[in-house]
Amino acid sequence: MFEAGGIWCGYEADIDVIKGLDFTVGQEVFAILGANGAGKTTLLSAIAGLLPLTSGSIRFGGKTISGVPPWRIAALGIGFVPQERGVFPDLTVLDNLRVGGLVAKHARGERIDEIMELFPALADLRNQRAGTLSGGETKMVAAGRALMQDAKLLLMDEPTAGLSPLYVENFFDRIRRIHETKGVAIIITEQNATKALEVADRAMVLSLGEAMTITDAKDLTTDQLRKGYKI
Amino acid sequence: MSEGNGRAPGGRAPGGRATIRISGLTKSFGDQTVVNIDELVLGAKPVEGLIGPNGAGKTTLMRLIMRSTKADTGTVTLEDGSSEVMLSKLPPHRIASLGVVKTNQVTQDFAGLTIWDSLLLAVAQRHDERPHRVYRERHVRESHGEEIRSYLDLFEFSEPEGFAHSTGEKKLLDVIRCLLLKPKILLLDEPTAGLPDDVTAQVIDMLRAKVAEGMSVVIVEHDLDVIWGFSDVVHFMAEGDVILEGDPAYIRAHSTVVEKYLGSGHV
Repeated sequence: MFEAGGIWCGYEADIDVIKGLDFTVGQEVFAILGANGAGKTTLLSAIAGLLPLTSGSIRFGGKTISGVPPWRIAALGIGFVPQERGVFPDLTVLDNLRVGGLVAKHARGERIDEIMELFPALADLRNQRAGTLSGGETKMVAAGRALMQDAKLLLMDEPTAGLSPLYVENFFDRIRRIHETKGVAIIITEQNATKALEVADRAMVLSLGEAMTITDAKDLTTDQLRKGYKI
Repeated sequence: MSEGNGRAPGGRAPGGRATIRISGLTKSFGDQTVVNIDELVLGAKPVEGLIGPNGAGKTTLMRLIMRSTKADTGTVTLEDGSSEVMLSKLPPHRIASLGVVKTNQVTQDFAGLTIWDSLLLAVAQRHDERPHRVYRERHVRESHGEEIRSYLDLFEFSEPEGFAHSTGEKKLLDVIRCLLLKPKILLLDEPTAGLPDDVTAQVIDMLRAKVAEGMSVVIVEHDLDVIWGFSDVVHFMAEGDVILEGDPAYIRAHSTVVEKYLGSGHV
């Protein structure tokens, strides 16, 4: 479904943050784990088309998507839930979801009902401006907006960063449910390895832009994680 | 502060190093508290690492010390010999002139200035000279030239007489600019991010030389290998507070550190 082949990228021509990654993601939840500065956000930005590759290629659904503009990547079915600024703060919850549905082929009303079923807390907030929501509610809207675009692959960048423990637990449950009930593949970046590994099928440990390990989530050892995080 | 080893007991460090004492310091953004430190002393040891997972509050703490971000409550005091100065009442440039200087995670680019001129700016600040005098009067410029050259000769800038081009060169320039201020305590916020390994090693060597001359360093760095190899003591932050202090080996092996980075299932 998704293949990254020898990809290098960074924010300036002279500095590569991602250094030659090769990996594939199938119909699964794939966790990218690593400490601050490992390159997790950079990698997702590159997949979403927000950052050009220095070299290498990314393929999705049999098509090369590296070099394709972000809006077209979104229309091909890759939804991106950024760590911050994932919603339009001046629009209501409902309008945020509608905007997400602009690139989808399916009926928007039907999908909004599905999102509300997935995140019941949003139903009561549907007419509230997204900029007034709590951190956890904002993350739900951002995830809902990405799902509205009929995503086949969801990129989630540290979706629980800064959330209270209760929200964290709840959000990881939802991530697994999105995958199982909607058949959406998910690439999730996380610093909290334990939580991510509870919902992931496979995981990659990223350290300073390089893959230290790619393995089944259940097989990832504490030693492998500590080596990747340099602790 | 919950526990630790290797911490100097008071604000004044053995050997007469200046220290920064932080008391009751808090900062919130909206409903999120990002810094909440009851009591902390920085600078007691020559090199102190400040680490913690994403969102721990490391960068915000450094900004609060320099007052580039204003605290909600609390005080920051520079204790140097017999003098005490409340930094939390001063503007950033006064804090810098007292010897507390900070590099930036995202480099501050003096895009219109050449490498030489941007370094002259730092020299002018240190000598309390007006920048236009440094630039216009040749003998003043030349009197500072040797010092600037001594730094530039350590690194291979692509155009030493021109402008800094790459992010790495701008990072280097930021560190050198700060060193030219001859700080007592240098706060480094990810100084080696984006630098090639060999340049990182050169920067650390340059900092070690300055530390040997009496400067103290407090460093935030995402590459923990730099922290383990360079620091005398490490402060571990989580959820806005320093919850652990000790020598690098102690911190690296501590179950709380592993838990905060990896989660409770991997301790």
